[in-house]
Order: sequence, then structure tokens, then C-alpha cells
Amino acid sequence: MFNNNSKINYVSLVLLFIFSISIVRSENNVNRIVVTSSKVESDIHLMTNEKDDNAVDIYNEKKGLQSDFTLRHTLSIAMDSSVQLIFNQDTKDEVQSVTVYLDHKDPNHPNIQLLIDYSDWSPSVKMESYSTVRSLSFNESLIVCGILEQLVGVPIQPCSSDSELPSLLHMGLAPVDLHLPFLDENPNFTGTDFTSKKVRFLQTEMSQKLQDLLVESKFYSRYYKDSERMTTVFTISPRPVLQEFSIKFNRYSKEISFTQVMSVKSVERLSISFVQREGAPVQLKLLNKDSYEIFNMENGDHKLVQPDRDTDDHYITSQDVSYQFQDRSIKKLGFHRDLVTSLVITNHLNNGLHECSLSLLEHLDEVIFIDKYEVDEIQRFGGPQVTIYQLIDLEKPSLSSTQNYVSVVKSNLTLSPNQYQSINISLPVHFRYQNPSLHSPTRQSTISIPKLFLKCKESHNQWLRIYPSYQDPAQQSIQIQLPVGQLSIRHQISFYTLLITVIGSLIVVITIIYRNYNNNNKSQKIKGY
Amino acid sequence: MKPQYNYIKAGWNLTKLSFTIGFVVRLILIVFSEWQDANMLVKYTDIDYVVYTDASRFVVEGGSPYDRSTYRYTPLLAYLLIPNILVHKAWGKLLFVICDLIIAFLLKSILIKRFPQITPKALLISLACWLFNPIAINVSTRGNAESVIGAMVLATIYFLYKKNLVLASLFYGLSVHFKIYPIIYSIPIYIYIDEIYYHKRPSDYTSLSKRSFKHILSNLFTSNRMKFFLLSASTFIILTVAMYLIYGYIFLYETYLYHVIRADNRHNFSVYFYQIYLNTPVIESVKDLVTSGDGINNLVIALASFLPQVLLLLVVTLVYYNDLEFCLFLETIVFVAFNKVCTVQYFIWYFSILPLVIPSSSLTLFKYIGLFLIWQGTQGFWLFSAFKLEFLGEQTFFNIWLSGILFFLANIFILVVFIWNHNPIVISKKSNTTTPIQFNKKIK
Repeated sequence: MFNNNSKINYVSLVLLFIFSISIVRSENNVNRIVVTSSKVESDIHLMTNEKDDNAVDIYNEKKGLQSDFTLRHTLSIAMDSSVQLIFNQDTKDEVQSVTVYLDHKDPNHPNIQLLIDYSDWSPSVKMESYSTVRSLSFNESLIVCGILEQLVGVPIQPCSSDSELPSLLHMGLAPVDLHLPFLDENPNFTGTDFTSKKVRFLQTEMSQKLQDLLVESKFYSRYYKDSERMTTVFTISPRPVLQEFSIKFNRYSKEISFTQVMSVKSVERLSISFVQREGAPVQLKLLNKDSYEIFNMENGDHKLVQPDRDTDDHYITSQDVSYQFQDRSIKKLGFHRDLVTSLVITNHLNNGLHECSLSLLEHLDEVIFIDKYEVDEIQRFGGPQVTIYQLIDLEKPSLSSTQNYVSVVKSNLTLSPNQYQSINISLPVHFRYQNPSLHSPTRQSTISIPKLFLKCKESHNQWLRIYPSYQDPAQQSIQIQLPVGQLSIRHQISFYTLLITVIGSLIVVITIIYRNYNNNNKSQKIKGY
Repeated sequence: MKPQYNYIKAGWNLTKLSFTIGFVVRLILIVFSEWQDANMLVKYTDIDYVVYTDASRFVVEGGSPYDRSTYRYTPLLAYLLIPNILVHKAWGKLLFVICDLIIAFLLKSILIKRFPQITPKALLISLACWLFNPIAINVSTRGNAESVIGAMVLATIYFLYKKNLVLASLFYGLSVHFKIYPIIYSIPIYIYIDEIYYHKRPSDYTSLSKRSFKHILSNLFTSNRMKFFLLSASTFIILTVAMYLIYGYIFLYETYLYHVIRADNRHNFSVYFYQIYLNTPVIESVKDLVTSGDGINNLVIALASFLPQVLLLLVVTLVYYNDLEFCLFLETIVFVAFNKVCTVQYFIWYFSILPLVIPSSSLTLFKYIGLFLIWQGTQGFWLFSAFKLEFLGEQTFFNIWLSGILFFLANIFILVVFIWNHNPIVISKKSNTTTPIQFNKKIK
């Protein structure tokens, strides 16, 4: 019997994805994107600041005006409401496509991931090429996102301090040929046809509010694409696209209902709307506690739904291998050092592990950078393979750089059963100049404890997070003190620098004039003679 | 009879031999650099050469050279090095070495035209200053493209002295397109081209016979000058517009604007380094972005640091434009010494002009060695402080600043010494021959 009351009325959720906030030194036209929500109940509005076109007010109807800062790009997706992104004329085609991915391999940790494909001429692409263009650093972005998190009520990565950080972060634009961050997963992006050179990627940590929706979406996706672990929810494209997004399902119910997602992009408008649609009548047959057979009563289609076997395919689990650091320290002095990691890996299984690769995922703050060409040379001489997940500009000072992630991969390992193996990895790191300091002669840079991943033949080449055998209190992030300029003598330095340059130029001018006078006298003498 | 300019001793043509030795030494170093790059982690080749090569690879693959991060040159350079991809990756170094030899050849031709009475020995000494200059040898063989621009600048001077105004203009426009610094030569060259340019031998120009300001102003737009200006400006504009149409704004930014607005906070030889570093806005929160800070103060500092350079360039121009090679030499030293960023490659800019100044200078060999030691020694102080900062992590910013001042003062001293020992050509009106004083002294 059809039951209207069984429908779940989803609350309105506004997800804000924040992209790099930039201030271009030149007097270029500022691109404005105004986000408005058509649903009256929404508490969140982004409105143009009347005083400054660069600024967007975060206005909470209940709490009033919260903050005032500069934004260049925002994009939001709201469920149960219609969201319109209004682009200025100059940026009408800046965003070529937006691909949203649902990752529901683990129903307890669902993720929504966003991939932005910019047009080649887009300022967001050009921005990265100008190393001197001012952009918010990672820490500044954290502050901005912290403000937004309080307003939105949803953790936003890379901002959420509670996050376990299940994947890598890209605060900047990255070339498409770089590996996108999915060390915890292994999706295949080769099928995606990106025409632009650079993409931007951000990810949210979902709150409990979305878990039911995503779980049902997972069930729905298995109904149609059982073999895919990642499902493309929708792609914003020039033509209107209608795609199913979610499903409400009760095993004893006799219908499946859908929430459709409609995305339309016109000359100046990108519109995303969510429409609740009544479902088709279905017949369910329970085979066992985990398997269903679904019959579509309208057209007779049926589909067998079986448990996800991905987990069982892993021959090993995180508990089968553990490690312990023997040494984790920074060698050498100055601005060019080596990050040395010595660790012992223990294989607790009764079977050996073969063709293994160990990956150290290093988290470096904005002061530190890796020279891609240096590590490529080191690899040629037998060193580890180093993958950099973000375009690193070696010439930027730290204040306009961002934190970044680097994975250091040691390959061709064999882990004998019930034995441990020592591994030593050295990574050359370089430090940028930091802001001068008013009081202290140094500033600090931090290298976090790395995350370790392992993949072997026995794990079907799936990366597997491994953990230390015991938590060693001595293992902490490495703190490095680096000299910086002294702001306390700033004015004296300026004064004496200018004084010396002026005196120097005057000395030369006087010499020229005096010498010229002598030459003229000499010339007259010659004439007289 | 045509004068003999090659220095022949014991049957050996030492002038030609110096060309050969200079070339062989550079070839050996290129081979050595390939060996060192292949066998050692510490490279001989400069990172800039890797940047050029990557940019050329992008061009070959149909892309833009600016797809390579930190490529900040004209696309013409990437085009020149396409054989790095198609033939051998050392092609570019060979090209730079050939440009070194082209510079030497141009130096020889210019010296003969400018100083017809130069002795074979003096000519050999002048050429040796370039062919055996260790800094020039190292810069070209490690893969910096400074010799390409140097060859264009000297080609400009050569054709000016050869009375070929068309080719001089073309090469000048090309050199400014390649690298923006030759723009500082525009005013002295413009004034040098006077109304009797075609009827006056290059050896008849001397700073002892200067026109009055009134005369210069009244003849500012002569046909010869306008010809040079229009041709060189057209060359520059055509090349620049063509590259802009192909690559867009990023070409303008990376090739020109970046070098104008660039203010690296990383230490370098510039006397302004520490001032620039300390006055970089300290932004540690979002609020700092909104605060305008010391806008007016920064403007005053920027202006105050710009005026000494401009003043010096103008004075040098107005006094020495008729000793064109000496004028350009001084201008280059001034420009490099007062620049906001100063690195080793910039020294090539005035080392390639130095041989033209030697015949009219009364400096002895020992004095040249002394000047070089002062110049190199002050760099040594700087390198010592920089090493302690960069590789030992010691707080030596103040010492680096002091060393920068020392190096700057060394440059001032060198300028003063060269000015003091400069002997303009004396033209006697009674006899119709040119008899430089220093050559008479040497004969005695």
C-alpha cells in the first residue's frame, strides 16, 4: 500500500566550496560571482558588499552580519532548493564543467568531491602562472573557512581541524597530468575528458545529516552500476542535464522515490535545482539478509543486488602490517636539509608479502618546498619516487605559498612472514624566506608526522593505510627554527641604504664633472699649442 | 698598405690562436658539463638551461613555452633551442659558445674601426679579456643565454660604427625585445647619431667635442635619428605584438612585467636586498589584507631608490655620448649596481663591453688586476655571509646587508677609477690624423 507519510523530508543544506581567494596586483576587472538561494527558509546568503565589489558579506538571517572579507570565487550546491550562480560577463564561460563525485565505498564515511574544469583562458588558470600574484596562503584560507564553517554548520576540508584528512588537498590549481589525491581510494580518472590544462579540487567532510541520503544513493547506484565504486552524480555542461541523484528506500516499502538534479547553464547563469519526484512501484524479494532482487512493476526490469565484495578482495588489512619509527629527523643546517625517516615494518601474517610499495605521505607547511627536478634526478640515481600533488612555485616566499603534500614511494619490497624489515628514506627539503620578525631572530616551520600506506601483490595493488605498532610519545612533528629578517631595524636599514646609494651616485657625478672640466682644459691647451 | 692588426710572434698568429683556444676551452667545458650532469648529483648546468629546454619541448609539442613554470624570456629563445629537443640537448650551450665567439669577432671589428691606430698587442689584450674571461666562459657553458643578448648589443655598436643604420636599428630592436635592459642605451645612441653621422668616421668621435645642450635640442629630430628610432621601435613592436597575439598577456607578463615588478626577498648581491625584504608587507591574517599599510611611505622609498640611478644614467649620457663604447660601459655598470636584483649573469652585460674601453684607458695591467680583486673580494665577503645563512642557518642578514653595501661601494670605486683614467681621443685640427695620447706613450 502506498504510504505518503514514509517520505523523508530532507532539511535544507547549503554546502559552500571555497576556492582560492586572490588579489591581483594589476587593475584587472574583478570577477564577481553572486550566490543567492531561492528558498526562503535558507539562513545563508552571500551578498555583494555595497562598498567594495571585491567583498562578499556572509549574512546569517538569525545572527546578522558575521564577517567581511574578500572573495573571488564561491560555488554552492543546495539540496531542496534552487541555487543560481550569477557570473559577470567577463567570466561567463570561466567554469567549463563541474563534476561531482559521490564516494560511498564506506557508508560510514561518505564524501562529496568536486572537480572544477576551468577554461584555458580563465583567470583562475592564468593566476597560477604569475608567481608574484598575491593569493591567500593556506593558513589564511583556514581562517576564512573557519568563519564559514561556523555559519554553514558543515565541516569543510581542508579547513576542518577535526578531519582525519582522508585524502590530499589542493588549495591551488594543479595541472591535470599531476595525480589527483586519492591515496585512500584508487579511482580511475583516465576516462574523464578534461580539455583545460588545470583543475581545482576540494572535498567536504559530510555530517550526519547527509549520511542517510548517501547511503540510499549508494543503494540506488548499485541498482544501475553495480561494478562502479565511484558514481558520477552529475556534470554541469552547456546543455541541460537531468540526472537522478538520490533515492529513498525502505526494504518493506513498495516504491522507490527519486530526487532529481537539474543543472542548466546559460550565458550568464548556472542553475542547479533539486526536484522531488514520485517513484515507480517496485517489488522486492529478500534473498538473504544482504541480498535483494528488485522488480520494476512498470516495465518488468529486475536487478539482483548483492553485498559489496570490495573489502573481501583485500588479502591483507591494516592490522596485518605495522611499523615503528626508528629515526625521524631533519639533517643538515640552514635552508637546504634532508628529511630522514628510518622505520621498521613488521609483517604479522604467516604468509609473505611481495612486490610491495611503501608510501610516506608527507605534510609540509607553506615554508617548505620540494624541488621536483632535484627529486627526479635523485630517483634516476636510485632514490625513491617522489610525487608532488600540487604545482609548487619555487620562487614564492612563504607568505604567498600554501601547504602541500608529497608522497615518497619506496618500491620492490618483500616482507617476509612474521619478520620485520628496516627501511630508510631521505627526502631533500628546502625552505622559503618567511616574514621578517619584530622580536625573534627566527620563525618556525613544521613537518608533520607522515601517513604511511602500503600496497602489495596480495592487496591487489590497493593502497592500504598502515599504523604504528604502538604510539610513541616521542614521535612528534618536527619543529625547525629558521632565521628571518629583523623588523626592529627596518627603518634604519631603509635610511642607510638610501643614504649610501645617494652618496655613491653623487661621488660618481662629481668625478665625471671634475674629470670633464680637466679634459676641457687639456683640449684648450692643445688648441693653444 | 693596410695596417696589420693580428699579433704575430715567432711565426704564430696569436690573435687567431686566442680565438681557437677560447673556443676549445669552452667545448671542453661543455663536454665536462655533460659528464658531470650525468654522473653527479651536483650539476654543472644552470637550472635556467633546464627551463629553456623544457620550454622548447612544449613548443615542439605544440604548446606554449610559458607552460613551463618560471620561463621568463621571449619565446624566440625557446625557438632558438628547439634543436635541444630534436638534435641534442647540448645544442643550446654550443649556440651560446658560438655567440661568445661572435662577440669576440664583433669586438675585434669594432676596435679596429674605432681605434685604427691600435697596436696588435693592445688588440690581443682587449680580445683576451673576453675570450679568456672565466666568468664569461662559465656562464655560457653552464647554459645561460646572456651571450645571445650580448652579441645583439655588440652587433648594434658594430653596425653603428660601420654606418649601417638599418642593421644597427634592427639589432637594437631585437636586443631590447630579447631582454629589456638594453633600453638604457637608447638615449646615448640617439644623441650619438648626429646630423653629420654619415660624413664622420667612427674614430673622429670624442667626448672632448661635445655639442651644447641648445644645439642638441635644436637638432633632436634629425632624419638619421628618426630613422634609427623608427626602425628599432618597429622591430621591437612587431616582434612583441606577434608574440602577444600568439601567447597572450602571459607573454608580456613573464617576459617584461615580471622583471619590472620583481622584488625577490631571497638574498642577492643587490644593495637593496634587505630593505626590500624588510618592507615586504607582513600579512599574517585576513585583516592585514584589508589594511593598506604604509602605502605612501613605500612610494617614497621606491622613488628615492630610483632617482640616483636615473641621475647617474643621464649624467653619463650627456658627458660621454661621443665616446659611445665608454658611455655604454658606464651605463651598464650603473644599471647593474643600482638594480633591485643583482645576480652573476648580469655581470656579463658589462664584461662584454669592457674590451672596447681598454684602448682608451690609461689603467695598467696591475691596476686592472687590482680592480678585479676588489670586485671579486667584496663578492667573497658577501658569499661568506650568504653561505652561513643559507647552509648553516645562522642569522647573518645584517652581515649580508653590509656585504651588499661593500660590493656596491666597490662598484662605485670602479666607476670612479675608470672615469678618472679615461682618455678621450684627441683630434688635432692642424694635421688630419688621429693620434691617441696613450698610444704615443706606449710607443715610447
